[in-house]
Amino acid sequence: MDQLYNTRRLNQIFVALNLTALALILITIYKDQRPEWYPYQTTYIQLFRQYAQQELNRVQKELQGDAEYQQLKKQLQEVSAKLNANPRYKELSREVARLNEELKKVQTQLSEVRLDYLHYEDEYFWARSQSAKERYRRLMQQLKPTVDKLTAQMEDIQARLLKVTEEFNALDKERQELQKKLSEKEFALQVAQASVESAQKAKPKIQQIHNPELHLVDRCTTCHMGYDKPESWGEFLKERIAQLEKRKAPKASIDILKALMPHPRQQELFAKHPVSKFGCTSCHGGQGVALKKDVAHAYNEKFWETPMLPIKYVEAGCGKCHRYEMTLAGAPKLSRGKQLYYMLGCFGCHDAKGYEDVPEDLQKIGPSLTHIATKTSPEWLFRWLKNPHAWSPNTRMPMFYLRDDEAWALVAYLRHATEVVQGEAKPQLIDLEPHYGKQPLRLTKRYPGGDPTRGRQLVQQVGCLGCHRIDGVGGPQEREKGKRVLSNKDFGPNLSKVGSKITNPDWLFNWLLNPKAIDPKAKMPNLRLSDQEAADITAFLLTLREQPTARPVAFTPTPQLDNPELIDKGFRLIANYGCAGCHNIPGTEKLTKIGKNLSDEADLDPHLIDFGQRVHEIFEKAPTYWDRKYIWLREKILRPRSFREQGLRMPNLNISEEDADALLTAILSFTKREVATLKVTATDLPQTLYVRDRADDPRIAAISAGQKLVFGYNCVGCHIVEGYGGDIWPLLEDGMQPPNLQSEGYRVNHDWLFRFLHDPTMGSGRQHYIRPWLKVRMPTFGFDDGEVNTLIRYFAALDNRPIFQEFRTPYRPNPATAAVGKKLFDALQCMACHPTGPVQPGADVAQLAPNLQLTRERLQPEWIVDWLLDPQKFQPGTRMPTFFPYNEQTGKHDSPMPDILGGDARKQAEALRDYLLTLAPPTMAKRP
Amino acid sequence: MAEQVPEQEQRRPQPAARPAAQRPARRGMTEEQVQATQIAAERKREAMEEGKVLTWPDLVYAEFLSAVFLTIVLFIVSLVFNAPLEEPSNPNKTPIPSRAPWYFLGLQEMLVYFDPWIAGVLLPGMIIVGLMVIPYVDTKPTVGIGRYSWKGREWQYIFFIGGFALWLLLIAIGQFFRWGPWAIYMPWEPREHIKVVAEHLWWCPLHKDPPANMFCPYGFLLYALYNGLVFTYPFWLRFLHKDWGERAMNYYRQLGLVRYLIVMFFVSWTLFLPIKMAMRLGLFPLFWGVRLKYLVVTPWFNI
Amino acid sequence: MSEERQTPEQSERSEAQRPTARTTDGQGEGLLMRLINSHFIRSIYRTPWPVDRRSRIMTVLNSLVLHLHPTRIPRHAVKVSYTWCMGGLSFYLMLLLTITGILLMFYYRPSPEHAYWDVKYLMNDVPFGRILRNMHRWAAHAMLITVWLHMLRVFLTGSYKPPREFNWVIGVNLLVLTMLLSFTGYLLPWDQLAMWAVTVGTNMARATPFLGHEGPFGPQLGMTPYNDVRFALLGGSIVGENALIRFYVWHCLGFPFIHAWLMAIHFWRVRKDGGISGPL
Repeated sequence: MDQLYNTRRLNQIFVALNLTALALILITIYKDQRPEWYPYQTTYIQLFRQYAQQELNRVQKELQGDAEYQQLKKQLQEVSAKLNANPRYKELSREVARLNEELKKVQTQLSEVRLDYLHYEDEYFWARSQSAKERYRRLMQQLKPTVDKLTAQMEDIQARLLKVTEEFNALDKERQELQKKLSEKEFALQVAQASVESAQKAKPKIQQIHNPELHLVDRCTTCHMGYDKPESWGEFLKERIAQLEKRKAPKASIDILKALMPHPRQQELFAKHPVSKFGCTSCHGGQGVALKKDVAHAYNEKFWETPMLPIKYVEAGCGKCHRYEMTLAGAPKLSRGKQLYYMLGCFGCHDAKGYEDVPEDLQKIGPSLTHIATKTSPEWLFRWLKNPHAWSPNTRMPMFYLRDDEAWALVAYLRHATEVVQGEAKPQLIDLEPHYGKQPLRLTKRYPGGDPTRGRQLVQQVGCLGCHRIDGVGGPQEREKGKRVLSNKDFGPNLSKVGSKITNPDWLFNWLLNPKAIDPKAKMPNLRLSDQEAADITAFLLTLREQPTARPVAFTPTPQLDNPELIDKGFRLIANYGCAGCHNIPGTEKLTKIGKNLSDEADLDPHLIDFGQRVHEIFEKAPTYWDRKYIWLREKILRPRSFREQGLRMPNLNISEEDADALLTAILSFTKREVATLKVTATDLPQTLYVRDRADDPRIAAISAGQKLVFGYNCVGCHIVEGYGGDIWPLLEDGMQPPNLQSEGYRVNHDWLFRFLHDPTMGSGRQHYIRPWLKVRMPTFGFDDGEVNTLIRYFAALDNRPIFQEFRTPYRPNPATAAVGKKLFDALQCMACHPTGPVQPGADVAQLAPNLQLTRERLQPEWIVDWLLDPQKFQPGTRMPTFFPYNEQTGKHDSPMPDILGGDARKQAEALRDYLLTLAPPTMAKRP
Repeated sequence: MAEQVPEQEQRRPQPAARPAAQRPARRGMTEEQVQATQIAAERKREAMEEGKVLTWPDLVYAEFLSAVFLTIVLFIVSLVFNAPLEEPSNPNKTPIPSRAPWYFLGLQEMLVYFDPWIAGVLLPGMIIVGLMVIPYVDTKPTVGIGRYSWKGREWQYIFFIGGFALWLLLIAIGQFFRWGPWAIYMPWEPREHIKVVAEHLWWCPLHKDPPANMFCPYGFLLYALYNGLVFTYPFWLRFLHKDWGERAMNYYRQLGLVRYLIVMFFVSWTLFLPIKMAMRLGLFPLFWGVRLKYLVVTPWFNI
Repeated sequence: MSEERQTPEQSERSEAQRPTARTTDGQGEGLLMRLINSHFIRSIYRTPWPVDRRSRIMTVLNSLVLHLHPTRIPRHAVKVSYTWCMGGLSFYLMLLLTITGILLMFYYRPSPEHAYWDVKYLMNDVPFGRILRNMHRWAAHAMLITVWLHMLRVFLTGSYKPPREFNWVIGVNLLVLTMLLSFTGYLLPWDQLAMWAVTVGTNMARATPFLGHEGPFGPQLGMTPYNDVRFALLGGSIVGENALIRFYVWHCLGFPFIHAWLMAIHFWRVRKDGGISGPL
């Protein structure tokens, strides 16, 4: 028969193809056995064995060198030898062993017999026929004596054993105690040994963290095996890396070692965020299920929407859950970023989740422009609008790149919309909304003239410098690469050239006396200046003028500012650029925020971003796909208008690179992606609820709302709150600074605080109610009840106090203990630092402390005791002496007076407290 | 009834043609055609007897080897190229562009030119039914079986390959030349820049906006005219070219009225497709420069 | 020799009848051939390893799978330049898809909560899962291409003409089924690509005349998004969990059964209509 194909040929092709197929399969199987993560684990196992051995050696050496340990061991040896030499001891131990054995035998027998007995009993009850019942009853009867006998035997042995053991233990007690102490010492050794063993047995396998509540499957630890090892492991690895680098080993092997490094700040972070519950991707992002580095890190994975955050923005991962606090311990960059978002007024254009509780009065961070026309000249306003940073380098007002005609239009509108001095009515456009400043501005007092030197002194002392900068008076300017770093002293306008800005001295004088009389929406509080003081300060400020430059500032000539078209154009510009988001401008009350809501800005996908004309530049600069987003966001913050020639409205914030990074970190935490609500159970940690919404946790809500006020009114300019702020402290002498508000919620009575915040003078007429030696004044802010309550809740929440003190019977001091307290009071010489009267001139102010007569109304009784026992805990660095230092050995506080109240420090502190509470409060002229 | 036998076949013994009653009836063929087939079949059988090879090993081995080869190729491709897996589905986020699978891209491309009920339902349905109908409207059932023959099957080749190519062309356009909101992008144009598609379309001939009573007489007339021309082409073609006209009439007679109508229905729609595309793109000579959305407008549907 | 003499025909016949242990190139008994012709193997295959004409024919006839083929075929039918081998490759790809598909079914759950993550798991962690899924996907694309080319070839060689008309009809139906199989499978990864592609595809269904709520005369017949043909396809008005399970069942059971049935008829008709077409 004929064949079409040559069989030989076909056979050859067959063999070739099959060999190819076989080779492919073998290669695939081999590659599956040696996956990408394999070398990481083999390296880790190898190195960890060395490390464990090293640790073991170290612990052993430590124990060798530990004299106590050696002594204990010797003692144990001696005691054991002595005991062994004692015949009675040996006899007893033998007896104990024998009795135990006997007991075991009898117990076994007994249990067997018992089993049979119970079986018969059971059958007896279930038996149906009389004969069966009879049979089982007989069997039971037969067995019972044995049971009884054995039971008696067992009890007998047990009694004997008890006696013998007692005697034995009496002999053996010392040895047992020594043994226990020795084991405690050897604990570290045991751990090290166990570690060595486990290292020997370790085999490469996939590591996985699985938490179904979060739909979490993280396999990161397959490569990052050393994440939970102690710092010494990190040191060990660093040595190895240094060795490899010296040997110029290939980058890949060095990278493997770098991946095995332990996670930084484990104590801080893992305590509250156990890895077994949170995994890795909850904070860092990334594709947890993957086992290949590039797939897991997902830097270039277009379709994995939560790539790993670059390390410099890693704190954004914290912000996913910690959405509301602006001060997160352990995340300084994020905190700074969130504060910046607030302080720079980003939310004036861009709403974002986390800033919904900004109160009404603080929504607009810029000064109210109601009376701008009376305050400044149009020419100044023009210059300011064209380039604010030329006038005041650290102002928060951004630059809008306005054309000259646009700037004049704005000036025209602002002039038009505000009233002019002395009640001269102005013509109005028909469609202007009626605004609150309808009544003409009336300046009640005339400026009488003042002394600039005294004014300068006042400015330095009274507290202006907490919010305002004055060159030459108010501290150096922080700068980074020519751009200013925003600080709390930039809250208010820079006053270095204010004399050239404000043309009307009456205006300035009246403003200093009572800002809210001029503008109820002003943020500047009332410093309770006397007329003379205000006049002096005005005189001083008017001397602060602009340096006349060689070249005059050139600008287009002032056009006709009454022109309705120009005014209208100004209004449209305000609507276009969103000025009303930061400033109260009459007529613009109905305008809304012009910016995009940034609540999900972190979820932005690069392929939806409009890069404009910088698309090629950014694409080239970005090493990975997701870097495009980070670079674009950063560039948008630093150079907002650079993407298109026209059409973009975001102004230039003149922000430094570091601040921009912080802001970017904050923005990268604005995500709408849900991480499931996680409840960490009470068995392993104090209950920590993962908060998605402020409504879930009133504590967080209180802290968040309070921070808006504290930063929004610039309390942090003078006070240190949560460790932030206190910008005025370096400018004042020691002891003349406003108090650190740490633990304020625990320290003071809340109803006292309520009255104080409404009126810091407490109706006494004195500037300083608590600390008479201070020159800086707590201003009268004119809060409403809501704001004060917010602040009280804030402080209470910070100290984990109940949000409002519950009603309770006021603590009544015991007169007997109070008498003892008086003795202590005198002995400890409290009056040396806590004066009750006015401050003596020449007193060392740094040593002064608040008036103790205020104790009853102001301080919380429990706090007083805790404070006395450990002042440093509540105010680190305070000058209050620690009279009752804590003794580690006894676990109690020592007392300097061992004969009073038995030397019990706590009792003594309580006695002091009782005495203090009996002190009569200072006389008041008026009480609120 | 012996047939005329070509000269060269005289050498072979002539198989006797079976009597008419015994011949199986063949649908769609004339008597002569049936008998020609019969004889040819016999001849083929004899010729093939000598030309046959055994299935084993020739066919089976070849099949097996090609299967192994295909598997290896597929395996290597699977090792190198990953099947796509994009982000988890999210009904609130429409990807731009949203693409149908590549084998339906032709239909999606047609959506640009036609309403969904035509592009998505009518045209695919017609393609399928049209394909199925092909054997039954074949006027040359004996020509070209078992070999590639351009001569003798010109129009069949032209229509089928043309249609196939058009289908592939639509897929290629849909895959490589469309991005964003289904706008035309050349392959070298950057995809980051999303184009804004603004079509200035006339609703129907001579109407910029939808006509008040949703009825456009001009379009209707044109459409009727077009169909009339296509359906009656054997009758008027002879006035243009006598020979073609005659062949057309022959064709009509061969098919018979029912089959002719069926064929012309499909032909009319097949030719209408590029015409309508041209109208939509503003390239149709009669409405030069004007982009037409619809030709036929009725209150119930538009074409 | 004491053999009885046989006629040449006899000896040939007996030789043919005797199961031989010859290798194909006649080089004597080898271990492999002894294995192949052992009792056990012969009980499975019934016919000895084909070495001569008769055994070759018998092998094809006696085999469940191979008797799809005729025992002898014309020369030209074997040529790839004629058939392009597309029909056979389509069938082979279908088998491959079935096998890889069944293996994939072990790891895949057709619910919106699990589908995507199961596929992610396949791609990342299941041993050889990535290769398995890729093979399934590329084989599917390859099969569509082979069936289109098969249809083109059949047309160009006129193999749809009598007596093969109905086979062509069945073939078109198989084509539609293949495309539907591919389409239903496209949805199963449940990612953006899948869901929106199917959305685009099924949105065309709502424009069906009479049966779709956006088609001509549809609303007049009472079609709403909740009872029209698109609703029937998706089991809902959106591509959601009902659509997923529906498409899954169609993809794994419904369409494969119909496909298998039509393929059986298709292959049967090829034989009945006179085998691979050839020149008359």
